[in-house]
Amino acid sequence: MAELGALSLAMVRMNLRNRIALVYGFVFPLLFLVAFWALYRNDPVPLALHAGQFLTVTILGAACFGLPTQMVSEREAGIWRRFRLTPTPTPVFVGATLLVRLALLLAAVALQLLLARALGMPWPVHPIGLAVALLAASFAFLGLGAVIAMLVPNVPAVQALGQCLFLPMLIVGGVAVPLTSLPDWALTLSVFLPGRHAVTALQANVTGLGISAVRFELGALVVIGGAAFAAASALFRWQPVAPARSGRTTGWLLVALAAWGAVGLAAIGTGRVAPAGRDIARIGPVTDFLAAPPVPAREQAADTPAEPPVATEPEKVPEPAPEPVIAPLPPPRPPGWQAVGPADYARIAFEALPPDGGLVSPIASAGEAMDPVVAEQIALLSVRLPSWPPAKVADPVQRVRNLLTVAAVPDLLQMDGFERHVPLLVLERLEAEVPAADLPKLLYWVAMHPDEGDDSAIAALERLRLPATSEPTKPVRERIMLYAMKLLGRLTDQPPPAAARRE
Amino acid sequence: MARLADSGAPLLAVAGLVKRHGTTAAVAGVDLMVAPGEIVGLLGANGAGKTSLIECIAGLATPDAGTIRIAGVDAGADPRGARRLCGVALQSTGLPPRLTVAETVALFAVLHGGADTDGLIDRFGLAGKAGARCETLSGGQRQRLALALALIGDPPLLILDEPGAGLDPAIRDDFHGLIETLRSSGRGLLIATHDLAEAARLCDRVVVMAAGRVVAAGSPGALIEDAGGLVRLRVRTRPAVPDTVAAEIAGDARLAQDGELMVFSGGDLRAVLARLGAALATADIAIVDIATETASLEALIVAMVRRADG
Repeated sequence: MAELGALSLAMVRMNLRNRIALVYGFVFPLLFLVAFWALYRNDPVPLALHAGQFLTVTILGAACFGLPTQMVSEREAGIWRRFRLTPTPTPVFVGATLLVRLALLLAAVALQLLLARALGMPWPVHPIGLAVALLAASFAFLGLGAVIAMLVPNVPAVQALGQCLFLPMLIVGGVAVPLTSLPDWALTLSVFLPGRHAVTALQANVTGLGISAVRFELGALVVIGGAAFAAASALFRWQPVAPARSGRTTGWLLVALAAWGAVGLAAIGTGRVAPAGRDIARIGPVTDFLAAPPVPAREQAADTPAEPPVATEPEKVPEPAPEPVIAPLPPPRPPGWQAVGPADYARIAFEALPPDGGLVSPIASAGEAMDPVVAEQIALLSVRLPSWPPAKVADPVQRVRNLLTVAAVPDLLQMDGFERHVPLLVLERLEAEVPAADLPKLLYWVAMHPDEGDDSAIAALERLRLPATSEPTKPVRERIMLYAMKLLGRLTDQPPPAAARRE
Repeated sequence: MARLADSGAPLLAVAGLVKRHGTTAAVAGVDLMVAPGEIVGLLGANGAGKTSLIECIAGLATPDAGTIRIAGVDAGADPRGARRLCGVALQSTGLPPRLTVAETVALFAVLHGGADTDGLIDRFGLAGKAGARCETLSGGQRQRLALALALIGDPPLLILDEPGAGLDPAIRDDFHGLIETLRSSGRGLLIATHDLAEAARLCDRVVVMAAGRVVAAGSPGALIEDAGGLVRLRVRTRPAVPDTVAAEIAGDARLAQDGELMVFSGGDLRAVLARLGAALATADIAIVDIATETASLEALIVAMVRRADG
């Protein structure tokens, strides 16, 4: 252990005193993050849906370039031979090299997450799961880095071979280019590449359902890493001079690649080629979801409740209703939520709402079968939700708004199907927390006033083990508006049109 | 270390060592020994097999056949145990460039199982450089640090590869003094070198390799003596020695005479000297100058290697 500690400390020192290594190890990942932020800065939740991608880029870079560059340059300089002359066993030396690289990699990831948080990304929903996924992805890519180090004769060759792995994974592996943008052939190819499985495993722990939902991907990474480390161990050499190409080298290289093939075939066999759909488009204003009938006089008068009633001149004949206009009028405003009634509900164009089976504001149909992992998460949420303080606030409008937040944020983050089942749970909770007669009125009121109330419930979502998005909160308010309308539609038997469930 | 050195058992015993690279035998059945307090020079042209032999002894390469025992420990059966008993400073090993001298020594002390390194940096004249990174050291400082690292753990056997290479004459002289100190402490040293003057000065024995085999072994003086045909005797007299007398003095040695100068070569030159003294004692001829010309070790090695290579 003393040898492992001393070697690790020495290697950390050597890395931290190497400016180029610092730039590659720490500055580049942050630049990648900023690039992702610049590309996707208009997302409703900054960076959250791309965390798997930028974290994978960091791991990939550290493993495919950082590790083999260090190993090959030290081997070329004869430093390995110097270590070899000591009685310290080889596994201690290799272990220290890998441990230090892993520590540097995790430090870079931590920096990235901190900067991402500063840019508005929520904290990962499953931090322990994320740690597991990071370790699995690191295991896979460090194994590949070790294979590269054993195959190449010098540092320039590391760059050449590393790029051969790096670029395909970035472009057709779902790491830099989103899977939803890829053609079918590239999607099929992507399941053979470890980058895709890393992105999926990491993303599931930032915004999704955690490691239980990505067992296949974690297994894939472990298999790929295991095969790579087996090959690297068999091809390990202290000497700078590479042995002549032999059948043995080719054989072990095939072992490492066979794991990619096996994983890809298993992914195809289990129907994992198609990516999960993503729709993070902005929702329109409330007026987009209003019917445009002639506005009754009562609502017109009631539309200005904050001002004292204006006396109308008795001799004036009320003007005829205005001609329908293309753009709906701003919503009428009852004096308070208590004054809301069925006539107001009719103002909502329920048929214009996104379908329950769509990507935006989905709601599972009653009795819809749940994935076991989703069922487990829903069960946990149902236990936590009754004691959630924001669901108990005195102001009923804010209480309803808070509970709708629980459905809105997972919908924004598209948490692997979990978000489809949350609204029903929220409705159940609303019915428990709000008198039945008041609930439709409150839902209507919240829907019509999406910019009112406070957003503090978003931060409190962490108590429910849900991601708490930070600024901007407007997208959350838009989803609250939609769910208020959709749940109101359910209560008043006016569900939106059904649509195919997303896959 | 002292106990091992005092035992008289060889610190290095190589027997029948074979190392192949593909179908080529880089080392083709070499036997070698280093006794306590002995410096053995390993000589030979590039490609003679010296590096492969040293890599096998140091544990950097696995021999295909033969045995290596270091201070009685079988390196094949207990490689880690053998490494503990063998300090190695090879030219082809590097120093961690971004560690300081002190950090490097401390690291290697731990890697040698927590060996004591008190005073090691001072002893090798590196105290002023303890905080300097290895990448900033001069060639001589690197050599000294490499030797210091080889001595961590107080190994009885040292293997040094070109220890004087790249050093200026003054530093090389200091370095040679250091090596002689190590010998006097009872350590055995195996030194691979191309510098035959260095070998002649330092080594008790030299082993000459060619084509993977040992083609000659012995002390530098004995090797030269054994190769007597390469020694000359130059004598200048006044007046010149008559031709007939000169021929008698030469006996079976070759003679080249040019007036007052006679050059004898080959044969038994000690006998030539004895006959010269006797012949000139009875004649009125004075010896003005006499010099023995010893063939260089370099010339000797070159001749041996050429003979071995056919």
